[in-house]
Amino acid sequence: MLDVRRSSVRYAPGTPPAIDRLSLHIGAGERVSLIGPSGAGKSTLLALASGLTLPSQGEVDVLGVSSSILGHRRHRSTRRRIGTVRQDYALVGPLRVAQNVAAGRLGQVGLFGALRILVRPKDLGEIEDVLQAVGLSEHLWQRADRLSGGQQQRAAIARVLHQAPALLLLDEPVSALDPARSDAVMALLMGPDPDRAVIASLHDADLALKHSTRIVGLREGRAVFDLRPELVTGEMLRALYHLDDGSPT
Amino acid sequence: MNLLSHRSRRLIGLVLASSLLAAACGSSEADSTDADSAGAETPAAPTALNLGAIPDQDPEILARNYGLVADYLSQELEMDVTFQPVTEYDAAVTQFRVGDLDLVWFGGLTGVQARLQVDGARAISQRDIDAEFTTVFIAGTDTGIEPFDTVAGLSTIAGRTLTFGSDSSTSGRLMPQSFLSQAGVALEDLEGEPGFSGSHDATIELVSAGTYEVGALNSQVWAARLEEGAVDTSKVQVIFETPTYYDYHWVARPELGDDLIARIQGALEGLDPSVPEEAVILEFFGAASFVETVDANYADIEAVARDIGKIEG
Amino acid sequence: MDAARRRWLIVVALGLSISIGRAGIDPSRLVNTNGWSQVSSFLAAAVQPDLSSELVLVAARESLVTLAFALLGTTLAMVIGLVGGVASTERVWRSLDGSRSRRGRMGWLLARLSLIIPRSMHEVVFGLLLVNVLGLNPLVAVLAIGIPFGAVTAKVFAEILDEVPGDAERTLRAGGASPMAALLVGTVPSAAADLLSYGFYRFECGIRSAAVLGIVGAGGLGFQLALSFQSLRYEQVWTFLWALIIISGFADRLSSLIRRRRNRTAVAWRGSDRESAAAPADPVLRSAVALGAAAIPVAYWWLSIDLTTLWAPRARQLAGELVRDSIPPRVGAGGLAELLRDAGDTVALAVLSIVLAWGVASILAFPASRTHRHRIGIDRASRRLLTALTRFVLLVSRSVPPPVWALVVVFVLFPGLWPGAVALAIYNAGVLGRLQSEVIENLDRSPEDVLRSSGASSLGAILLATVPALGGRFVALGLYRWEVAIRETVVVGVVGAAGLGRRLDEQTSSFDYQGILATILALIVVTLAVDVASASMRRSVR
Repeated sequence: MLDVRRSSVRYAPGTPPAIDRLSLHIGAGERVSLIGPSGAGKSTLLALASGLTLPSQGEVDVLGVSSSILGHRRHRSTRRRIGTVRQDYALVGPLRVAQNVAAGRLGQVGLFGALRILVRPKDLGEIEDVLQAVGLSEHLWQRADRLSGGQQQRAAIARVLHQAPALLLLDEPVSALDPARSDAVMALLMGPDPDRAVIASLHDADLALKHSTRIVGLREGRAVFDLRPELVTGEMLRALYHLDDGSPT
Repeated sequence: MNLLSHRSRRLIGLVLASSLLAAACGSSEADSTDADSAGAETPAAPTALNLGAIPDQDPEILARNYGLVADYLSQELEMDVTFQPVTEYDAAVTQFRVGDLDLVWFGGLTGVQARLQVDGARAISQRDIDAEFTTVFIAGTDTGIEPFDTVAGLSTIAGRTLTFGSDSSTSGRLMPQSFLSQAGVALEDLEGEPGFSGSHDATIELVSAGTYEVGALNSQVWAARLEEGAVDTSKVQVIFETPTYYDYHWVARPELGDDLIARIQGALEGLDPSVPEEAVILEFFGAASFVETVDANYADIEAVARDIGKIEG
Repeated sequence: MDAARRRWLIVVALGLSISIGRAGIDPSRLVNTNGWSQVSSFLAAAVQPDLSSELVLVAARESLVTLAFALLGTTLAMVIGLVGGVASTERVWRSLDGSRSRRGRMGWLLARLSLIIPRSMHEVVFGLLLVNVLGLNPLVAVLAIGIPFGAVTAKVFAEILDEVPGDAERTLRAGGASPMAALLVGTVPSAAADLLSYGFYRFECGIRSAAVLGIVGAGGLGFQLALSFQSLRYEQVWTFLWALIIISGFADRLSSLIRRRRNRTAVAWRGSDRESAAAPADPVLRSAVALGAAAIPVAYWWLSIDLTTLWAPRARQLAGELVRDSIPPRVGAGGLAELLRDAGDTVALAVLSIVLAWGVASILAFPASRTHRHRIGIDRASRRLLTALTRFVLLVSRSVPPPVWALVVVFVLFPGLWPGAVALAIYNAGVLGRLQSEVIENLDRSPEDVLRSSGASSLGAILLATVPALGGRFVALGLYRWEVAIRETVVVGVVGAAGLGRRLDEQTSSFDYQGILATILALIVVTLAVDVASASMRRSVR
């Protein structure tokens, strides 16, 4: 599903790389959590996987397509199978929640379908169901920019669930939710599905350990460890989140 | 209060949808129009006539009197005749060219311009007075310009400011410019750039106001305004009347067909001063009668127009 | 003062002196005192317009025609603006990862270029060309307003779109949406309210354009106005002028209200200083949009528009003839030297008119601004009266079309550049004064209040605190208006030597289409040059 081969990302010349000669292979059915301190490269790795950022070195294949050509028109059918939830939610503020959710399938509908979403989205039944699942069904016709932060995050999750992608890329998907809600939403996103791969960056290591089948510890753009959750020790976590000189971050 | 963007999205949707719809409807209707005008290409005489005239004087007067002309022709020809006013000389030519006007009362120059732009259009009728038309040069009384009576006398206008009428007027621009050039006065010899007042009446007004020292206009309009007492003769006077030339005439589009054109000529020539309604029309035109005319009468005008660049090529 | 600013100041001073030199300054050869009687009889007619029921009915009917032209023209402009804006925004041509491919750059450049030419042509020039293809047809006015306005709107809309944060759009594209669909769903909704509020400003301009187009023969109030003016019936002229003043006063109020509510800064002049996209819904804008949308079919029906005439065989044939007749462009008898001289006169005309207009407007803007009247030392009633009076003067000067001003001014100014310049100046002072008074109303007054409370006189506080803050904005507005004025020079060609406008008149009456094309090309070049110079000057005062 995702194949990263000795890839580096450097945002500006002369700065340390955000991703440093990283290799990573993720297959179907896997539930991968990326953990690590701020600036470890978690968001960059997700951006690499979505094709929004290209590696300055190395190769990234997403769903069998090189990310360098993923942006081409003929690979739109591949991109349709990649869903993202961003840290900033990236909703369309003046649009209703239902329209934002419907936009999850924008890749499948073409220009006329886009106009239709602007007038009145189809599949309203499905949209209601998915909003029900994230607990937002009463806000169907609310403007997205009127929602609270947590509600916006859930709307963004509903959008990606509506898209039903094969590769799900989640950047801090539950950062704005309370613990109980986080757990339920994580179960929803990370639930078993043999055809789907999920990669989530999480700052909450416990949540990661609980819902994942694989944990990747990132630090300074490199994978420090890549293990099944039961093999990750508290010692490893402390080492991951602390600076080399021992001072806490 | 969240309806705004919803409404605006609907609006955008509506606009796009309606333009699609319009395009869809349009294409089917276009076919029928195609058929219609394909029929019109083989000149079947039209059932209605659009009448026009160059706006050489007060549009109020034009509208009222050409309304009478339209009524008369409508009655004589037994078809709908409508008068369509325009604000500029060249607009009358353009609308004749595109076919919005079928029969137009043109000046000498505009008539030639119109015929050159429409294959087969021809001059069909003129007034008795149009074969001997003249221009008057007028000047402010405080300019000190004395009246004279030879074309050569126009050389005294060098160094003065002068206004013509409309750009495309025969008596208000073309012929006066031609006579000036015969007298050796080029436009560059005038003080400043020549003005273009837009109409004969405006020329009288601007010379009376002293905006320009000299003006050139249709002698017939001048005489009419004098008679009405609309001219302040203490401020403005005639300094020269030019030799005669051919001027106004009716021009018809070829689609009208020889038959209809002959009937129009007949109707115009048949205007009878003893019938009160018809006498009004003749009086408006300042003529005793209309007579047939031919394109060749305007060859001189065309030559002059080419000479000063009002007709290209 | 930095180097760029100093350099531009020298250029302006030089340009102004050359322009004045071209126009002449000897008063005895400029002012014709004999003409005052005509001007005063024109002005006197203002208070006794012809109010016979017949004429009032004509005025009412023709007002609706003018409004319908403006409304449909603006609607078309909005559609063109939306499509053109979307096509010429940078982001739609960028690759998924934000880089710009060669193809993307070409596409963007082409989209921008295709908008430049319609943007640099005045509505009247479009009208002139369209009437040769469509003849007597209300679509001439609608298209003549819609196409150039659409091109301007597209530019403004692209700028609005480029300022909307792109996260949503990028996310949608990453999920497989096409660039166009992602822009449409992800970004356009956030810019729609700004586009609509700009649309009302365009509508207001559309009324003024419809009036001018009427004068050159398209129908509506302007047409009746021209007919009455040619008859020199000033009482009737004023009936139509008052009708024009009333409807444009109404449209101005609406558009000001919407803009004030929306941003408290003028989006109107090219959308600078706009706030971020997520402004709240506005019931006034909402109702105005609903009303406008409902009026569109009514206007369509009222003008009995027939879209099929656009692709009827006659239109196709005439369009073909027009193209054949105008190619290749030909400079004509006077040669390139004369063309250059006329182009120079056109620039001089625009410079003179804007300098005059700016000077007058910068003074009138103060009494015309609503906030200002609390700040000068006269009693309340007089202040209100002064404000109302100034606003009225500004309204009249911008509602009366420039060609009408030109015909009046030529009675008292000898022919040449001045009558045209003064006519354009009167008109532009009306437009500028209003925009400047909006700037004053939106100004942060605290620095002035601080000075005043520490004992400065009112005038002193204004001079020290407010004037410097306004200076840059005023200059920017003046420059922006200069760009508009250069396009408007074509409509005052009627009053003698007025550069390319006069040349165009002469060629139109000679049906010299090759010459017309050459003149239009020259106009486009001059307009573009002025746009570039003005943009660069505006940057230096920012």
